Amino acid sequence: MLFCAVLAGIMVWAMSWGRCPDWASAGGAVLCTLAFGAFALGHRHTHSEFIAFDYYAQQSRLFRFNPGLKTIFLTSLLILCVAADSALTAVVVFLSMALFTVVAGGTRIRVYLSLMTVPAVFILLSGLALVFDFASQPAGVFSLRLLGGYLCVTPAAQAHAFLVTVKALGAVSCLYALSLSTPMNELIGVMRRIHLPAVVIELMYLIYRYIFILLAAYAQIRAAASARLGFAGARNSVRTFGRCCANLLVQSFRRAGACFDAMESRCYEGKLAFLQSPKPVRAAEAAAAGVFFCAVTALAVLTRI
Amino acid sequence: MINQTAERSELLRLDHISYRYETGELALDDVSAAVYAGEKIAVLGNNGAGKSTFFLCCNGVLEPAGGGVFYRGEKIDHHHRRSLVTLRRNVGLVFQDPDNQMIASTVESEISFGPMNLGLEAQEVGARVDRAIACMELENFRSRPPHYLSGGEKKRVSIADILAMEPEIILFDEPAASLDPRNAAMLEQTLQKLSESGMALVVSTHDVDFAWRWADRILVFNEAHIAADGSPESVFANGALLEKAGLRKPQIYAFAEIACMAGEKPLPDRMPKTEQEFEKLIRSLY
Repeated sequence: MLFCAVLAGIMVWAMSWGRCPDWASAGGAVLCTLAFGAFALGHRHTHSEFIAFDYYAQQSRLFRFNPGLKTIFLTSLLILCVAADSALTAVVVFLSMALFTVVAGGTRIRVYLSLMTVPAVFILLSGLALVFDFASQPAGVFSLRLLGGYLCVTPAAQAHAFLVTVKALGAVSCLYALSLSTPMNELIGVMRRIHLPAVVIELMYLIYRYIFILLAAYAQIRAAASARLGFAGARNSVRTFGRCCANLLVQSFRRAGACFDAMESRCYEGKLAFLQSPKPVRAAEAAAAGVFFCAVTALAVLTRI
Repeated sequence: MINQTAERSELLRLDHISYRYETGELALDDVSAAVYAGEKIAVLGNNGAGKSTFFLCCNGVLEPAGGGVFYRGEKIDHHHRRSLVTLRRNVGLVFQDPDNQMIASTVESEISFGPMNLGLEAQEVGARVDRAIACMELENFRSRPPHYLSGGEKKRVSIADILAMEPEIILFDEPAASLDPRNAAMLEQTLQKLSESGMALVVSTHDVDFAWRWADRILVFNEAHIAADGSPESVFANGALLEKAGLRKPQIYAFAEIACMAGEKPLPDRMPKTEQEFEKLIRSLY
């Protein structure tokens, strides 16, 4: 989390340097770091939040909407956000989907921000790689002598990095809007409706499920190891970590076997299916989704002209 | 016992089956047993004696190397889909660790997994899920994720999973393991209820007191064999068998023996199973 705060600060600075007064750029970066940092300090990140995706989805006020409608709406919005190549559209999608999840869905903002940090770290890291160029001559708004060359920030790179970052954030916010309002078993129902091959659905679902089994198993192994002082000292920690991982592999094979036996004993034959409570599409909801999508499309078209 | 079961119809029969693990270790060695309608069978035996493997063979998850599995007289072909489904829909298996059984993200959809696999209509699946939820008193947990429930609640969900498939036999692999006394008592009531509804129940356990109190037939596993198959009275009267299989006498049984010895009276024809019966015995002695 703190790492994410520092990254965000550097990104704000690198992208705004030379475009606004220096004091504003530096101040913005510091403010951004402090804001993220304060949130990070007040909040410890745990694995259980990821395990709880389905749980949050069930708590969401958006849960009662038809899963097919949500899937179509959010996937098309995601595609639009990525394909439009327009920073303004991406920012609008990002903000509207974050608000959609938090305000309309009622997902707690702490939870949302905390879940967002993981993809945000990846996105910000790749953004940094895009914004800095390495050149033999000083160029752009900022250059730093380094190893016989110059680390530069050019306006073109700034614009490109900004576009990529907001596009990625917009896409993630669409995915989060979907997964924080639609539990996995409903998504499976949708995938079956669009005739995705059964083997693909099965693989997806089992991988998704076993991630949690692995995480839970690892938490137990780790707790047992640290109870025997396995993590006292750096040397010990490395060795214990290795052993935990090896043990995890053996355990997960066994558990996977046991889980599969349990599925087979309930007549599972390679076709995942669960009972779903019917959620008919309401005309007003479909219309609202359609209007919103058209508005964003119009915005994308206008900004491209 | 034999006269009693002869009137009941035979449901499941395992005929001289063996099973060998990949490591080469023999888990079941020439095991034969049958389950009749409405029976209450307790399966005893120490860890690694072959109880779990036996259950997996009964349900068709494991294919025995030799011998055959018969359901209502028909031999199960493990490579034939319909045949296996017949076995599995009629012989439900409740696993020891409910976590291994949980697959869906809500209790309701979790329970629907079995009946959905049977290819039933959505309406029928819904009705079965409702019945199973009512039977296991899970109404308040209907839309909760099963992974977050307590141990006792998870156990109830794992039983409802199987109930929804409406089998004729339910196998319970050490159901009371890791349950607190209150949940264990609830489980026993559930077993009683299921048995009264006509289902045959096979329960593996280490609790000899429970086996003595509840079962009308006991199977004792020892080193991959069935060491005994008979009435609880005949099993617990056989000291050599108990010694061999690492079992002890049920407490109430042992106390009745001591009471009779102290009163210098012969053992009664019917050994006490409940505290009331024990009290009656004591009063008749002194």
